[in-house]
Amino acid sequence: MANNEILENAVLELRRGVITMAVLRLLREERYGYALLKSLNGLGLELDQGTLYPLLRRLEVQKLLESDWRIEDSRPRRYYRISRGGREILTKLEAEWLDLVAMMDRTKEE
Amino acid sequence: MDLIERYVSEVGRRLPAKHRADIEKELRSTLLDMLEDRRKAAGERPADEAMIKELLLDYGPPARTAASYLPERYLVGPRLFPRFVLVLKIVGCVLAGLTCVGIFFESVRSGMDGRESADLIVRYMSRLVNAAVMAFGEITIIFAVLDRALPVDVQGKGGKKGKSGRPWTPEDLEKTSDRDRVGWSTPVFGVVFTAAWLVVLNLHPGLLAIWNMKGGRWVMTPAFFSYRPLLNLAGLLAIALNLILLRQDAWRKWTRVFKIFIEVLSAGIASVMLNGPAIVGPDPAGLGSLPEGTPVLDRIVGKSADLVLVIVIIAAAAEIIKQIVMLHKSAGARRG
Repeated sequence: MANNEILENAVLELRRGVITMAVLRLLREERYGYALLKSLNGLGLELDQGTLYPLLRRLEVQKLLESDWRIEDSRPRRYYRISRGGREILTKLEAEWLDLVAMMDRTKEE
Repeated sequence: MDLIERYVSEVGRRLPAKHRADIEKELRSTLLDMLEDRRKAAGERPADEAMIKELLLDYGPPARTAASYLPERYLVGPRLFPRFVLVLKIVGCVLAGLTCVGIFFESVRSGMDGRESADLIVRYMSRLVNAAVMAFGEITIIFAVLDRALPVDVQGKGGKKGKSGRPWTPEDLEKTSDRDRVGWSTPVFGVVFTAAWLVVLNLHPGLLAIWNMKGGRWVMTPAFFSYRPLLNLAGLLAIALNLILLRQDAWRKWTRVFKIFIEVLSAGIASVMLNGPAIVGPDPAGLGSLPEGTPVLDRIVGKSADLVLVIVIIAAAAEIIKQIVMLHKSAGARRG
């Protein structure tokens, strides 16, 4: 496997690790699926719809998100927002994230 | 828009009915939003078929879109897969072994020339392939059913349970010394050869014969076959023990006791055979063709059969002593 491919796979794994936290953070403000996708892509977390939408459904099943359908411009759109349980999990995830960053900083010194 | 509807429909028909309508609704909404963005990016140009096709191409094939909503599915999942492969290997060895035995006995018995032997090999190979395909299908179906029927804990998906199903503790490491370890090859070969023996005993008893080069033969007598139920019992118990050892990787106290029981049973059967009527005798159908000097050969064959039974008894006794010694040593190691 060429080094480029190895790097791409490693970067993909790294990004995959933060997607849930990024989605929960952005959904502190409610958005519909496509708007969330554009926000994430705009922030540099390139994600395709095949990854995002199943994730949103999974987080909703886990009760970390809530959603409802609304009609806008005569088109139905599903709006997502973080739930109370989601906020609790997000707080813990953010603490874990800081720990991980500190740990990685320590490995640089080793 | 008809293309979008057809795409949504193609994705939807690959989804479970419970979630289909909801996912289709969201998918349709997303595609229309994406199309709107593309339309604006193209200078507010009306969406045409080429634009829609490009959008759907970028979105991906319906099968892949549907698959992204579904959990990973296996016919035989990761937890049972190693055992599934092991069973396939065992059955493969049994079938291959039986094929070789069949080829050997039939070619020796029939005294074939080169061409007939080649035909025989082709015939047996063809039977082996058919049997292998059927066995593979049946084993796969059984494991696919088990994968769905067994509760999660039994499959150890939690990763926290030991092989016996109870929670793993470090004490499990201390209990298994090197003397108790069982490699995979001994139980596998035990299963293969015992299964082959049972197949021959029950389905091809005519193969249990001794031929001499001049055309006569000796066969197992009806007295021998009167012990068949006991021989089957001993064989099945041996197979069961070997399968348990394969699963557990190590001897336990109760498996050693089980082994002792099987050896006592085997020795008992051999002893009864030794003291009973002859188990090997001239083939009644071939009496007219036995060569001169046959009474001497008869006695030699009879004595050989007795010798085999004595060897079985001695081997069983040796195994019983060995297992008792191992039980004693393992108990001593646990106390120490």
